[in-house]
Amino acid sequence: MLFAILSRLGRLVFVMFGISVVVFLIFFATPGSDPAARIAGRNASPETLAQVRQSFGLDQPLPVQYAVMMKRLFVTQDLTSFVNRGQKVVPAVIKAIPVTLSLVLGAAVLWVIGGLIVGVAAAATRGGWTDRSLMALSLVGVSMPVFWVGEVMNLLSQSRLHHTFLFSWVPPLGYKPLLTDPAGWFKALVIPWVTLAILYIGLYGRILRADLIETMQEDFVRTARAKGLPESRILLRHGVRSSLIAFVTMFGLDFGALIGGGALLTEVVFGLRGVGKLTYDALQTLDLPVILTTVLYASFFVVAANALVDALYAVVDPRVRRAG
Amino acid sequence: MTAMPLLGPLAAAAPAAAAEPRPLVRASGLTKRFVTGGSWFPSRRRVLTAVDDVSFAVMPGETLGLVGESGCGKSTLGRCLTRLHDLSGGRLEFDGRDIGALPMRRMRPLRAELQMVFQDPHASLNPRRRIGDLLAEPLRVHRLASPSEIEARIAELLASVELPADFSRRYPHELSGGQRQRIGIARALALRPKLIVADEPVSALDVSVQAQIVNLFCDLRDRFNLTYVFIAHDLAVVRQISTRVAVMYLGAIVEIGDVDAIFEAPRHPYTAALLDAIPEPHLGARKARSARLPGKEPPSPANIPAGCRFEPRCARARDRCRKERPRLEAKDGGTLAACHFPL
Amino acid sequence: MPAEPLLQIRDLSVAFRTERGLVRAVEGVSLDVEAGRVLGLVGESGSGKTQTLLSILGLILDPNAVLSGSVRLDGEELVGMPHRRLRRIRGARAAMIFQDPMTALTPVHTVGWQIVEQIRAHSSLSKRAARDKAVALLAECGIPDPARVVERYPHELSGGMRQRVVIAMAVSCEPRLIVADEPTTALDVTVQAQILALLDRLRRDHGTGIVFVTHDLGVVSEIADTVAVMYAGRIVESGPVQALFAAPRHPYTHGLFNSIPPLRGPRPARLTGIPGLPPSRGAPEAGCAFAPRCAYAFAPCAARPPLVPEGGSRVACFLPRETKQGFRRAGEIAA
Repeated sequence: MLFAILSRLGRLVFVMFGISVVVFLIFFATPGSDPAARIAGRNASPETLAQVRQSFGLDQPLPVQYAVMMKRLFVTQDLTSFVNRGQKVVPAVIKAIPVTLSLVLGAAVLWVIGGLIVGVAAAATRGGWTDRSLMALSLVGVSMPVFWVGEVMNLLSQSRLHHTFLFSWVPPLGYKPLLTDPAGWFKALVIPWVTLAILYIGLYGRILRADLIETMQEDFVRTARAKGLPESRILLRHGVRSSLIAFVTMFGLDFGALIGGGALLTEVVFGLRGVGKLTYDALQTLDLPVILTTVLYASFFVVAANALVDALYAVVDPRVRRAG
Repeated sequence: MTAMPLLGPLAAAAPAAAAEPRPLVRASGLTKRFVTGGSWFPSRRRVLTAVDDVSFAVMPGETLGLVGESGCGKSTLGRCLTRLHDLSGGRLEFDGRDIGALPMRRMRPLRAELQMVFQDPHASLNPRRRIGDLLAEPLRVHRLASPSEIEARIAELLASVELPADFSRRYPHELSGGQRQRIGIARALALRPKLIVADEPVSALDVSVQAQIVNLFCDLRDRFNLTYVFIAHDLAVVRQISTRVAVMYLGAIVEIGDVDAIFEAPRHPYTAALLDAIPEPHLGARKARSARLPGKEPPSPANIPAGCRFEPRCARARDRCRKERPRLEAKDGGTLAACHFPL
Repeated sequence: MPAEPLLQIRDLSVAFRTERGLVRAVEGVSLDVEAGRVLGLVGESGSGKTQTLLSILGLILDPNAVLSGSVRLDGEELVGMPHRRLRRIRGARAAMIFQDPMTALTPVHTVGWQIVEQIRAHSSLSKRAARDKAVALLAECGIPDPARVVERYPHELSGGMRQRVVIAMAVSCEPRLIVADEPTTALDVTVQAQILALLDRLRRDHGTGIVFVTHDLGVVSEIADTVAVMYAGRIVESGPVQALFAAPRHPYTHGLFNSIPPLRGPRPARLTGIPGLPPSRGAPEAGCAFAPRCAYAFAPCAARPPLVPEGGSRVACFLPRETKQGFRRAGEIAA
């Protein structure tokens, strides 16, 4: 087991190294463009350019440039933005991480539970009206763009219905730290959570329903029936337990992508200064050091989420365990 | 009953004109290993020896039945003979040519002479194409018939597997299992092969249909001078169709010989146990069992015993069997068996 | 008056509503199984043998299925029994063994978990006691080192071992009846012989009645006391195994014997077999379903032959007695 975890970690470090090299090359070694000019931002003065060249070691060979870059990212953590003069990039990203984590983790809990309920309920009543209305609803959920849902939510909870008992508890847009103000944290995030989760509940519910219906045709389900088990037990302990592979796979991909900045639209709509918002702002001003950092950060979470999924596979399906 | 002479059926099957018959297939030391896992850590690599140092020959006109339980390597051996698998070791001659190490590109022209029939032809028949197209394809690829001749040739092929000519317009899903197997055979015949390796061709069929296909195999052999390697786990079917039989266990041939000798007086304890285990409908009563195998599982092909590979399950095993691997050699009665203490 | 047999099936019919009308999968099947006895149910694909078997336990769940007739277990009518009560019988008084041990066990639970689950569904045994019982059952079914095997997942066991686990699970609640759907077809012959011996021992030790569905006449001769041969949804011949095997009286049964190459004696140049294909769409409305493939078919075959007693067996065929007795000779040559 320990060996498996270590080999996993080793692979993770290796993949991260590969990604950082590729990202570095894209930013620093694209032929025909001067990285200094791009790092310095639009309309930079010659002095700034010189300063950038010096501070990133751009006059030195590529491997040295890479080493300098990694050192400034991970060791001294003093990578500085030239667009927002003086802004230290790494602390800015670190400050944004709890916001994004709070948003995505909360939404993930909602969508996993919601997806399970929708999928199981629909499969259990297959062909009936519960199934049909759940599938219709989930299709609506999947088709609604998240920024539109967010704006509608804001419109209702912040202005139109804010004075009614329904939404009077909703605080103004923005993030409250969990540790200093847990109640405020919760209130501020409930609506973003729901908004972000709606799409995924629909998606996961549909996937699970399809897999579950297929599983319920399997021989072992017939065996379970012949054993005289109650139908609910057959559905949950034999059916759902055996249909989770696709669910877990999707979860790993979606979760990683959202943590890595994919929750951008939700963050922007609800004024949450998370990693997505940070990247969004950096893209608008072409703030390369920030973009470079967030891309690396995102890739870390995508890779880490995949590692997590592999571990979950082993929990969900014993057949995977031995392969290691 | 006295021991059957080995020559009987063999001599009858060999064409009289051939002065000195040369084997159509000759395998010597044929070995196939599969390596699994351990792409990162060589220490975790597992080597499965599916076919282990197998030697035999198949004469023209002969049908060699290949029997054994699942996992004994009979299918892998069949795929090695047609070079669907690359060999890990040993020599393979076909019609006098060494084809064991031939690159795929140079194998292609030989494919016509060396065809395979599978258990489930459904899986190998493209469901969106008509039977006629499926049969025409090998003819076109190997340029064996001009476009004007193709239609006549397809009708001829269908007739040879006893299907009406209008089947060429049907799709595979419209056919029953037996009819699909007939198409699988027709497709193998299309290129006028010398050797057909048939891998469990009747085991998915109903009993009554199985008999028809077995008869068809026999008819086609006589009509087109075919040589078969017939792989099956059903020993009664193998007895019906084969002239010689090879019994495989854990990747190796443990006994090989004339079909009647093997079935009437098996020399290897495994062959005897296998025959003993088959329930016989014609007896109409429970069979008296003599050599039932102990309930032990056969060892894994990743971990073949150093001595006789059957020793852990053999009631006759003695010390020598654990230490020394028996060689496949002639025993009286006409078969070759790999056993220190044959029956 | 004789006591009612353990399992009594009377005039069982199963049909499926389809777009192209009603498909009769099983038509008017009547069977008896005594306690401690084995009934071999023989037929090719589409003969309705599996549907007959599934309907015994009420396991045909297709909403388009139409079931009629009577299935009585120990005198209790199962057809039309409320779901909840039927569930208590399944797995407890009547258990089932399926064809493919590779897919019959849930892949994500240990075999011990699955046996314990069944025991606890039908008794108030504690988890510990149920587990001990599972270990004992595995041992009884010939599994070496059962205490370790209970912790195993199905994929870690061989096909033969898995079938032993399935059988251990089936007998875990000491059922009166076991229905087995081709339980040895997916296994090698040496393993098949072991499994047949195991089933034989279980029925002797516990007096269990067994319905054994198979297409393999050899297996029937090995394990069954009585045989019923099905063709196109109907029983065409049934009787004690010795009588039926010594002198098959239905041309279809006769053809089945002739389809199987003999393991000893002279080899026929060609297998006689049966021409044509088994019907794919259940029983026809009228007439003998086998007539289109039958070498002996004559005018009366346009009507449906009833299953009538003849020479110790029951046969559904209009052929004169002498013709049918002629089949005996072919059977004897092979033996």
